Amino acid sequence: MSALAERFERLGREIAAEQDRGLAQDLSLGSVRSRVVGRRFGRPRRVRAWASAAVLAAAAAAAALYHFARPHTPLEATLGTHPLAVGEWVSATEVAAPPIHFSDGSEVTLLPGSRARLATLDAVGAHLVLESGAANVRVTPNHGARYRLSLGPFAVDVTGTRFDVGFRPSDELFTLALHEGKVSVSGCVLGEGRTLLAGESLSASCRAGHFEISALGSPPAPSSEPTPTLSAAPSPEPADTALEPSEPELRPARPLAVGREATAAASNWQSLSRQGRFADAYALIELDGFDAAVSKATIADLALLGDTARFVAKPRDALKAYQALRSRGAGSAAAKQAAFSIARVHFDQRAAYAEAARWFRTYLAEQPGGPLAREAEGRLMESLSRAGDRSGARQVAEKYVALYPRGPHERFAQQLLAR
Amino acid sequence: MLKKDSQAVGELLPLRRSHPELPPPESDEVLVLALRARQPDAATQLFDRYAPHVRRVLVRVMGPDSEILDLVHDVFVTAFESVHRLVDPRALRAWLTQIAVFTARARIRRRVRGRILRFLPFSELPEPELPPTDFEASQAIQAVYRVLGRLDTDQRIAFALRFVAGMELTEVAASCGVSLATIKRRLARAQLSFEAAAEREPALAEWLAVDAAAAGGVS
Repeated sequence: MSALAERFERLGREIAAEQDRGLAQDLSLGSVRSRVVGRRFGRPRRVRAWASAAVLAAAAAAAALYHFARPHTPLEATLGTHPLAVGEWVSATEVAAPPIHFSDGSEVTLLPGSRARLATLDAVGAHLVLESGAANVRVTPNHGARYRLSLGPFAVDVTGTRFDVGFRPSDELFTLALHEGKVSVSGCVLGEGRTLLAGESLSASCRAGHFEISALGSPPAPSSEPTPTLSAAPSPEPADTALEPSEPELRPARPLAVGREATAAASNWQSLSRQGRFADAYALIELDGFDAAVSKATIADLALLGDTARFVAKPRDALKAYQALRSRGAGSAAAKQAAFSIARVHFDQRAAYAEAARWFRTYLAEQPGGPLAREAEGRLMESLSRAGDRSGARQVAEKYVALYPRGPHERFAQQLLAR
Repeated sequence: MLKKDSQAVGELLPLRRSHPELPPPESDEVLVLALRARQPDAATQLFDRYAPHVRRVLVRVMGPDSEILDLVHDVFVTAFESVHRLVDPRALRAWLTQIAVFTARARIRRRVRGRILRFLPFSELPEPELPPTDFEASQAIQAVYRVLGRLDTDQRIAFALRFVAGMELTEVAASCGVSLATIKRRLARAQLSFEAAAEREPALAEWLAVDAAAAGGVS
């Protein structure tokens, strides 16, 4: 391949990775689904009677086969003794959570600090969205079973297997350790799909544009790209706890929380947003306009408003809300924390790394010992590195290694210093 | 076509009796038969299985574009209405990809025609404008698709499928409905055109330079 083509390939991969990040946060496909599957399709055809009969016979046979091959009884899911319905969130805090048990014998156990939502449940499987954290998964290999786990921009398709999987949204780091069977993993740097076999492990970082597959239990291969690691069993203090202070799962919670999507009770955007229904909440906000919502919101709601816009990939609106919080709540803890959120928007959704660095610095200046200080230092380092400020990144790396020798960005810092 | 349907069912039905060879219920073959039989669930199944893929292909080709969801809609409408013309049900995914590519191409050409129909001399034609987007794209993405907008439509599509979607050459050729030789020629021209046009995009030129430097500088 020519050098020119290789450069285009690198450029294309970067573009695709960024597009996938946007798509992963875009929930708007559902609106097309209702339009598409709700309409009737037909093709006027003039056929003779025997042809019609043949078509009907073929249709009936296909329908019979289709129905014969599909089990009709929908699966059921329970969490402990609690029936789990589609749309429900499960948050596992610091104590051991009972597994999500499916009626075909499959089980998903969330590890402490994890949060997941049951997106769909049908006769042959389920779709579970693991928002953050890690889980042990065991899918009973029934004929035709089809389970899917979505983790940020990654998806794992399973027919019958046992594996541990984890996802850290802060750096879009995905890990999977496959003990039995095989799975197909797709998304972001993995493209349309990679098949993993028993005894293999995979770690992939969307942001670093990097993945590696290695034998289970073997140390990761040396990599030219710095890739932080995420254990399938998260540390007692998961990185996300520090990263997402305003997200619902991070508030003090019951040991095990199950939140039902209470549509009837969701009368305003705030309640929708707190249920994690950010697209619905944003749609409601849009009815009056986002600017109107910003002007009406209390200081306490501005952070939630910004988060809602951020989660539906509306960076411009998110910045409006966070900036309003900065000016109207100046000096408050929420306003200081908004600096971190602004930095995240610039980094994650605008690829404006110099601006992200400026806001991470602002956060650190205002909250030098704040709850997000470690993450802010780490991401400041990443921002500077991506913005091309190598000396600045090295300075932060030295400080990071000294302050947080076992922090999640330590490996990245060491690699920066080694260059 | 009727014969093909009957044959397909005829080929599949005996497999019911030899259980181990029965196509799994989620197979594309069974789904296509269900679609042709107008099974109520089939349309939903098709959408759920392939809408993310179709949208991804459209995003790769079109870039940041407010009409992506409309295009997804159009692709599935076309697919539902012409599923009887799909010769090999196992090629469902490739067939949908091709519909997506052709739908995107028609939309791009319509926009180009719209610009030309303003009766401006070619030398005064404005730079291609990206339609308003639903989300803010980075400057680099905007620049890439501005550059692609200056390319011939077929070259643009070939370039996007090869380098942004990461398809193999044979896949690109199949998706565009042309021969491998044709797609190689298109890509060769597209690369040269893209490189020349990229020099006019500061964000992109800088990014490519940084990218090249990083590739050479990482130990």
